[in-house]
Amino acid sequence: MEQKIETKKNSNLPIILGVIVLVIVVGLGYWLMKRSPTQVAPVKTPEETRPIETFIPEEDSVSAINEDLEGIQVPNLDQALQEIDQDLNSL
Amino acid sequence: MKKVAIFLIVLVILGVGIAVSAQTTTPRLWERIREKSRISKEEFQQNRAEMQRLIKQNQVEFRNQIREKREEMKTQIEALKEQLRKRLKERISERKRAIVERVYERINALNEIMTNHYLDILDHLEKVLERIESRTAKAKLNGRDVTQVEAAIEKAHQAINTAREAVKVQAEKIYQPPEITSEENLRLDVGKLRQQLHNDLKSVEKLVKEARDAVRQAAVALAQIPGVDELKVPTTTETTTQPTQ
Repeated sequence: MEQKIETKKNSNLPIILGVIVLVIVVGLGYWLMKRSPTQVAPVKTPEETRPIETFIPEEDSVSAINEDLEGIQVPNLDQALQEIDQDLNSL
Repeated sequence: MKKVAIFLIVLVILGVGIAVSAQTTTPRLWERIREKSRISKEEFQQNRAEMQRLIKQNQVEFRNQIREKREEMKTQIEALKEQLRKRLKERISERKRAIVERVYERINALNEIMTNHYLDILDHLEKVLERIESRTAKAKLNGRDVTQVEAAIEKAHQAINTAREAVKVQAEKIYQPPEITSEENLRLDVGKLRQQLHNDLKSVEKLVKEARDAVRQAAVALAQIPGVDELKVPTTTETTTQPTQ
């Protein structure tokens, strides 16, 4: 009876060892996979790591208002009177 | 009895005056939204859209008034041209006659062109001022002190209205044909009319430039509020009226 138990223990040992080896291999593979991209990843410059600013000025922002105001030009009156002046000079 | 009658007449005149000024005055954004106890972003945008619609409507009505008047003026100008033609025929050579007639025609045409330009500028300024008001209202909803900006906005509105009235008067002006003394003095005689147009347009131009400067001043006052461009309409805001200085 004791000899039967002994043989059963001996037959389970390779299976247990096999599972342990498999777990180690899978774990090692996973660790290598996780590790490899960080090794090849380029070092980012501070410029690149800075978050992108998504602030877009609205149409009622001071900058947009000033830009619009700068574009308002009063027409040159003397230039507009040029044709009349030419006629007057020919009188 | 007489005193009562005078009092009633004065009251009627004042009432009409207030009614007329209420019609011509541009609506104010803050005046509209402060009546509400709470305002959402959507309501704010709706009020702005309504303001813009009213401004546009006022501008179109104003231009229509001038257009109607100009239509009436056309026949008068034609009659004056004919009058000038007859006067010139009597004592001026054909070549010079054609020049004088052309100058007279150009004087009235240039007046129309320039007053249209000035109206375009004032319409544009009014739109810019509406944007300044919108940003000011956002600042006010966020609890910022906007007293100085509001005062500048009010001045800008007044300056635009003053300039607009001056443009209207100028646009509806008919220049009389020049008084011709002799062929030798022709240049001097016609030159007087040119100078008159120049002076008239210059004074209107001055008012238009003052309106532009007043709007600029309002923009400068607005820019002095720290971080004003980042302010938004708070999700749900209780509108409160700040005491004015």
